[in-house]
Amino acid sequence: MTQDSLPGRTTLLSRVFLALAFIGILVSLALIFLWVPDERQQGAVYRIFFFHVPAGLLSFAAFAVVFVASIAYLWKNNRAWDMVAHSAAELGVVFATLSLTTGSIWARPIWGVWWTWDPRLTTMLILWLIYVGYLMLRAYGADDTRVSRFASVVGIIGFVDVPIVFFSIHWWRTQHPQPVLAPGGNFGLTPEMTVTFLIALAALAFLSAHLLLERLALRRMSADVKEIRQALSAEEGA
Amino acid sequence: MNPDPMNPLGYLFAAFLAFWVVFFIYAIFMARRQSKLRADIEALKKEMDERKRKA
Repeated sequence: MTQDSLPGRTTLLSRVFLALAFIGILVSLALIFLWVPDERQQGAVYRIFFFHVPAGLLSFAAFAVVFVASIAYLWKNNRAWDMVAHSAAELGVVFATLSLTTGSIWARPIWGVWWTWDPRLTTMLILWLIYVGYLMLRAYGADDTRVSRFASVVGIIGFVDVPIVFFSIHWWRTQHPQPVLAPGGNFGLTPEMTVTFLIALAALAFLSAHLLLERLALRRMSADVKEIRQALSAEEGA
Repeated sequence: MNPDPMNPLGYLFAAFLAFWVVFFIYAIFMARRQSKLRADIEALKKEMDERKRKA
């Protein structure tokens, strides 16, 4: 991948993703509020899970992109990969924030508390803090090669927490519900709930793909502006 | 499980509202960055035109 192969402005693909996300979100909202039945024990509040779980899964996917792009950047020394990692980290933090926020709001009526130091919640909060730290590091010098290399290392090491978050509900005693779609998951989803969940997941995945492409376009524009400024300054000095 | 009998629907709508508020904040953040970059590009174009005229 070359830096020039990154989109410089909104691409057709990005617009297609946005249109699919828009349709998917409207359909999933209609299904969530008008079609799926209430859950036996939790009543209507369980509907939070239709956006809470996809947000968590998409944050993991975004951090996986950071992991792969950071390795590729350190290996190939190509700034395009660094831009991908930076953009994906930002998106991952947005989705992790959404997952933590909606989870906390769900916990209040179900567990009676906004927050508890449960293994799943704690490891997810640590993951969020790692990548907020990553973004703070990038904010100090987005185009500095040393900062990029250091951030890549943080992005790679930080990803170690993703499987810990994912498997925390198997490894430790936890209050958090078991996985909803994993083999052996016993959350008790009806076929309506499964279909609604998959549509919501697809809609948010399209939205995240659109946001990633837009963020990459912005990152590319920013790098171009910096390059032109440097060229102009060099011309002025000559 | 101990569902709060007070107002479970309030929590449901609060969660969905929070979800979209976070998204809109991020969208506004991106739009502001984009307009700042466009302004930078316009300024650079003007500067380059100015230089061409002088040359």
